Amino acid sequence: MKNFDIIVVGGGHAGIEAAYIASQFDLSVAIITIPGIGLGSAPCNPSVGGVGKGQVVREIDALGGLMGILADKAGIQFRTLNESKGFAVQSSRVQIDKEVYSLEAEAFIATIPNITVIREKVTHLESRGDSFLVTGKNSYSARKLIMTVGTFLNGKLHTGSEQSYGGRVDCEPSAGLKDLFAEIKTRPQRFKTGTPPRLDKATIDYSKLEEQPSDSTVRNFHCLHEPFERYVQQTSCYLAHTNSHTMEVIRANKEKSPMFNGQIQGVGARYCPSIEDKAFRYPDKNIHHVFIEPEGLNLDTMYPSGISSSLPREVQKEYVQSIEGLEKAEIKVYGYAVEYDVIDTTDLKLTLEHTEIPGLYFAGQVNGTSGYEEAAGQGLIAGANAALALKGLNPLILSRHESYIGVMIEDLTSNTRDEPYRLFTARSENRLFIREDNSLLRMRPYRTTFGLNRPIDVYQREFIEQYLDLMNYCDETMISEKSPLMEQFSGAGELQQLVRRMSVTEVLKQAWLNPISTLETILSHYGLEVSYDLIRTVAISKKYDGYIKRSEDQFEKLKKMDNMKINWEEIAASSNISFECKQRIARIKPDTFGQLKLIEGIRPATLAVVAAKAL
Amino acid sequence: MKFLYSDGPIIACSTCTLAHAAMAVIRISGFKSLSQFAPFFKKDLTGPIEPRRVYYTQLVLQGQILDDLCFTYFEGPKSYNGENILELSVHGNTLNIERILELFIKEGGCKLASPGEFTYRALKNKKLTLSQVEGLDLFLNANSGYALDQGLSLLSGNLQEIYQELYELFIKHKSSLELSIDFAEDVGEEAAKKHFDESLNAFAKKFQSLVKRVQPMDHNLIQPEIVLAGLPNSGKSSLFNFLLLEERAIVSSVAGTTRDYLTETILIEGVKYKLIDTAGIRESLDLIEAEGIKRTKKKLRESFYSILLINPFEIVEGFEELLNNSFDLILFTHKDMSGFDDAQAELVAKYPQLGSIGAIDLKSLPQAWEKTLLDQVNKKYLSVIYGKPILLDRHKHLILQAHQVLSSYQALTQHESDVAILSQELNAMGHCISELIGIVSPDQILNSIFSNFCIGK
Repeated sequence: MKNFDIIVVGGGHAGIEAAYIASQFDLSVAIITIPGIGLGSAPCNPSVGGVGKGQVVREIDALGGLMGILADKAGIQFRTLNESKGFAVQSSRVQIDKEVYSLEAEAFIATIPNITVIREKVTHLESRGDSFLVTGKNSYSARKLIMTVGTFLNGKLHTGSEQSYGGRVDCEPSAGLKDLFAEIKTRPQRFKTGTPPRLDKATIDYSKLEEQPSDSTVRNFHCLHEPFERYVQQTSCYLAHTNSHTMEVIRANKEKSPMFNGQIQGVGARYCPSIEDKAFRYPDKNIHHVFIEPEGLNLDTMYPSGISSSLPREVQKEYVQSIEGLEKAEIKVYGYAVEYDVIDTTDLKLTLEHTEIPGLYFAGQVNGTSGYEEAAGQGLIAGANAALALKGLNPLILSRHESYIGVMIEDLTSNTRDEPYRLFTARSENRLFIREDNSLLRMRPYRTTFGLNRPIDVYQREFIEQYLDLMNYCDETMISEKSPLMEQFSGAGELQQLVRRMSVTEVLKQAWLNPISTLETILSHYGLEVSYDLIRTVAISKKYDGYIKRSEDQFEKLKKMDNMKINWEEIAASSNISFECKQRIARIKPDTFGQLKLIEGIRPATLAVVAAKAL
Repeated sequence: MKFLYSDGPIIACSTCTLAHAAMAVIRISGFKSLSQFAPFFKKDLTGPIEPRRVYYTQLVLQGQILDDLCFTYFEGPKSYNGENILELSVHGNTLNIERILELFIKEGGCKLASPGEFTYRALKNKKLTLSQVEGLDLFLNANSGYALDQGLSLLSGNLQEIYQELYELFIKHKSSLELSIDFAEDVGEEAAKKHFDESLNAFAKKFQSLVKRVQPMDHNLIQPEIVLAGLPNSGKSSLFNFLLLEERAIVSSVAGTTRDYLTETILIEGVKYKLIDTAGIRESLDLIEAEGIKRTKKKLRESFYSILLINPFEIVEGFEELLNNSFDLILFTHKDMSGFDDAQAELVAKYPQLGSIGAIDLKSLPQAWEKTLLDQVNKKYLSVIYGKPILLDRHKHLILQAHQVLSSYQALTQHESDVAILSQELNAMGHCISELIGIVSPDQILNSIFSNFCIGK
């Protein structure tokens, strides 16, 4: 029997992230994955990043993770979302070539000598005191076990009335968690996710669609990559729209929809709705966006984002072809919904280690999250903590005040989720600070505790030194009102005239100026050459400085109230709360006012009553 | 101020204890079972006692009868504050009351209730909301029919409903903002912008109707004040005495607590006013004491109705400054003095801004004149309450604060494209509205509300 320090079950986005970070600590790591699926494969949308998620990818990258590297290497279309809405909520998103992404993942992992990839279906797992026994075709043992099994636990696929078992289309099924690991409880409520039909690339009339080309000004994710270098050929996405006919087709087939006829019992995410959801939830709305995204340069399929469905094949075809530009589109792979088991994440610690079975970690979709980025972020936390524990180092626990990963892990472990969890910027109380541009600053203190000295560490140390220098420079350098720069920076109206001597910092805070180009101009005026990354981080930090301080004050006040202990049993038993609300309280069992506030459907009247009650 | 409330049984006299009266009501709340008081009653309390029924019996201590009384038992949770409550209707001699309280405290395991503790328990047991508690406070301390009405309206939850509607509209707007950040791609920019604008308009409209009810005034409508101001010998004291002598409904006469002024209470058309003679002006002017002037000005600013009296024969330095305060009424006195017309003409020529001013002879004022003056005060009062002003300071303060935030937020939406900054500004408004509906931290509640309550409520 082969022994490893750490075994990761699953080779998806969480699995490879866990394995890679753990491998940096000179431990022997194994990934055991189902044969026939490449590492880091993308079964759903062909993109990495997005609002909130772009921040996660950069956090992963700054902590020494893998996702940013792979996304850059496989990126075929780059975009900045929310570009006009301010730096704090801007996020990068990269359309990836799925084939290239997985090949890059395989190649990358293959270069790491202390990671062994084992392609076997795991049939039995057992905890043996301070080690775990993992059985597939062969038996293996490990001191730490990380479960990143995605949607494969008791996975059940639905397309119309057709049902099959497995975690995704054309894959072998795997057993339920209960069978594999008798000691672990899964939640009685299964989750559900879905994916749209894939269209034949050659059968789409692109002239009728709105083209969205790749943006060459979007910075790569990985900090050691040249900011704007592209590794593969760039291509475009296209925007289409549903119409009243599309929605009529769906509404007419309600009883054939597994989601509405009772065939599917799992709960899907409300904010990642299928086209059926949209049709029935918004009966007055017929025009919905459909983004047509290439799945790969050499793959012949397009991914129509926004119309995931589990309707029968003939209905899928009819509604797809009702869309302008897709009249002749052929479906290569039909859309389906998948139901799967998830664990109760309140049984996990902030390190993602199980509270009752030490040494066992869970990460990714099995924890009830949706999205590659969410999975990868958890994989990194689980992998790092398994390794840190073996090395006798302090655990890696990211503060929710400093990172989206921290927000996610705290949300997951403190509250039983009753639908798949996806990150949004709105989940953070400190959105002005948790930005893409300062991810390195935010993550460096954590990375430092690993005690590693890899190229990324060298880069980060230098970056921070230069950052502090440039911040000081901005505070100390004064620009005279007579300088031609000031005329250049003055805006249109009387209020936007810069008529007095100011520090660079002050100039950067002027509302009408873009801080990045302003700082670039100032530095080049004084003949200073500074890297783009550095200018960007310093300029945006200066811009938000005052706002962040105010936000921190607010946060402090809120925290006081939110930390207030409450007795959920009493609240659930009280007579003036709706039945639905009581059920949610009883299920989620909130301990604090802050947790109660987060529960869906809690009415303000209830909060007021509880606030008074907690006196 | 720190409130230390306990869980055990509490007792207090809930009626006036300042003087002997025919009857008094003593309340005991929070005991486990009636039987624990069995030794003090002639009637057998261990037997069946029907809740909400009046029983007649005697209070006894070691065989000696202390008082004849009636009691009513309210069984929790169907009681005022959700606890078991025993109400004793006893004879209202203050010594008798004290003796009974002492009996239950020394022998019955009760604790003398802290101010507002009965009501505090009602809040704690969700029998009353925060607004209702505030309404009760207003109701019990009302000095006018309007304050009584608003107290009752708060008690019945009317205002609370408006706040909740406002909160829902706020949440709608807040989510439209979040929608435009996190789901702009799904929803589309145009639709997101439409949501944003519509929800903001709906919120602002509702909010404006509430703001109209909060006049930015310094005076206190719960205890309105009529302030008399003027230089020495201007006739303030004469007017003060004149109004009081003719006014039959004097309730109490309390000397000013701060040497600066004298205070009396007068009743005009069912509203209790404080009548204040600001002697402070005289002293401060004589002593040229800046602090005194400041205090008088504050008093004038906070007054509901201010009257300036002028003796045209004695205009001294500092008079101009006095005129800078806008008065509701300016009166010339000393009409009975010879040469009055000349002096008045001279003064009017010097201060044209005084406009048309009356002149009175305080020594021989007709009865009807008093009515004219009081009518004027009442007219102002009626016009003020016509807009249904919100009386509670905490609410006024929060509404005005939210109003300020809303104005700057609306201005910001015109030129700030950074949505994260907008959202942050909006949070400040969220806090105000949450506090309005009672989502506040314990120390805030305790300090702002229960400090007003007296023992027995």
